[in-house]
Amino acid sequence: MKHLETIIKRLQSGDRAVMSTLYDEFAPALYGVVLRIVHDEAIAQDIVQETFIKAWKNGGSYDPGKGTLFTWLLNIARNGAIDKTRSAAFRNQRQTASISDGERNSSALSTVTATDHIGLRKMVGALEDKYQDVIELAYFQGFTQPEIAERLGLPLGTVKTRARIALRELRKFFSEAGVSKTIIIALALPFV
Amino acid sequence: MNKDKFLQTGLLEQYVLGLTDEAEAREVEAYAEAYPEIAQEIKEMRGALDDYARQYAIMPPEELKSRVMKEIEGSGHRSDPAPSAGQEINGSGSFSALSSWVNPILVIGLMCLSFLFYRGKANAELQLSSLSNEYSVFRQDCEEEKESLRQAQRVYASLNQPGTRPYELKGTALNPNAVAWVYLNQEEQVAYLNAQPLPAPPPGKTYQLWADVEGEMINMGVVDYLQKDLQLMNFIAGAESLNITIEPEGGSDHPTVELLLANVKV
Repeated sequence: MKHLETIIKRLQSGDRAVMSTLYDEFAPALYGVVLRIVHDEAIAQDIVQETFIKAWKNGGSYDPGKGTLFTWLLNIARNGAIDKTRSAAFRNQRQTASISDGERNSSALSTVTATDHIGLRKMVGALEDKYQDVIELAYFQGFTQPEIAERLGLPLGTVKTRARIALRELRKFFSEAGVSKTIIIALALPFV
Repeated sequence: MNKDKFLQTGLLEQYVLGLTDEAEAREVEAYAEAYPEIAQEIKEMRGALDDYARQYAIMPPEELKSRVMKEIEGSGHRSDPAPSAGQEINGSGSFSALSSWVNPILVIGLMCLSFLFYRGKANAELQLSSLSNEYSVFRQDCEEEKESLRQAQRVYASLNQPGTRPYELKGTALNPNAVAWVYLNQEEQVAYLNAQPLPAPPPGKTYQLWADVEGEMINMGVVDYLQKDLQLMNFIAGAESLNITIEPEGGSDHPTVELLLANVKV
């Protein structure tokens, strides 16, 4: 946590050198999420690049009270991704894929399957697909509750319930799992 | 609305997932300011979501970082002039002073050399990128194993606590053969459920566990029927009985008592 606080301070004060650390810390997670939205490696890389440039330019405006640094970056990336996916070509592609075989599995179309599969495998058994769907659409893709209800063909109340259960399950799963964070911090420290 | 009621609304979870509108977000932020526990709750949920997103981390190609850093370097005011342009001119000037036949040989030699270096570098880069891919795969695998080990250790340690007691939930008239096990530890405040002996829930339905506290049924969580191991449930203090009902998928806020499947007095 200390490590992240330092990054935030340096980012806010416009320390250019921190961008390398910021990239190492967050680029893989951002790239993974953006790929799940756009399903195109070249476009995803462009979006990640634009995200870090915007983060550098707007670093002074980041407010830790409103969300984690990752969520802030994810919002920038997601807006970039949504701009791209609103193009006609993308809309067509997405409308032809239904939610059942679309959202969750379409990353299988890309060449990142091998790595992606590991990510999915870890969560299987920890979080049911129906909860993953809600998180995917809300947090990764930024849909509203009515939009999610429509996409999943569910009543609004069920979407709310699933959002609750999904987060509770996630917390249960990650609450004591500080391990991954420690590893990431340990790996990033030499670059600070 | 008091704090506990507010926590029950699920607004907090919607806020963290970015599903609230502006008015709702302000409401959540007001509660977070008034109650440090709620602020902490939000922080933990955000942390869990971040961790979840990291599950999907994929190492981008190496050259993306240099692209990003180059753009960032170039984005501010640039004080230093374009490097080395003048030097090159000077350099070629001194070369031209050498006898004219040395030059072509030198140039060809340098070209061959730089081609060799280039090939070596390209190979090394290729190897590096495949190694770093492998590394990230192994790292994820390792974290995955660690987490499952920790989880197993937690369950094992919890079951072996002196205070842990098993409760056999027996089937009601609905299905007299139904049976499930709950392990409660009052001191550690943990509850585990073994739902494996239960029949699969009807399609579109799910099982949900409830604690009866002074006549009120309190939700202990939706049963993940597919979970092979023991499932960690919400511990409810002062439970007089444990009850499993059949509920619509996603669970209910209040139990459907006529669909009580199994129960036991505590």
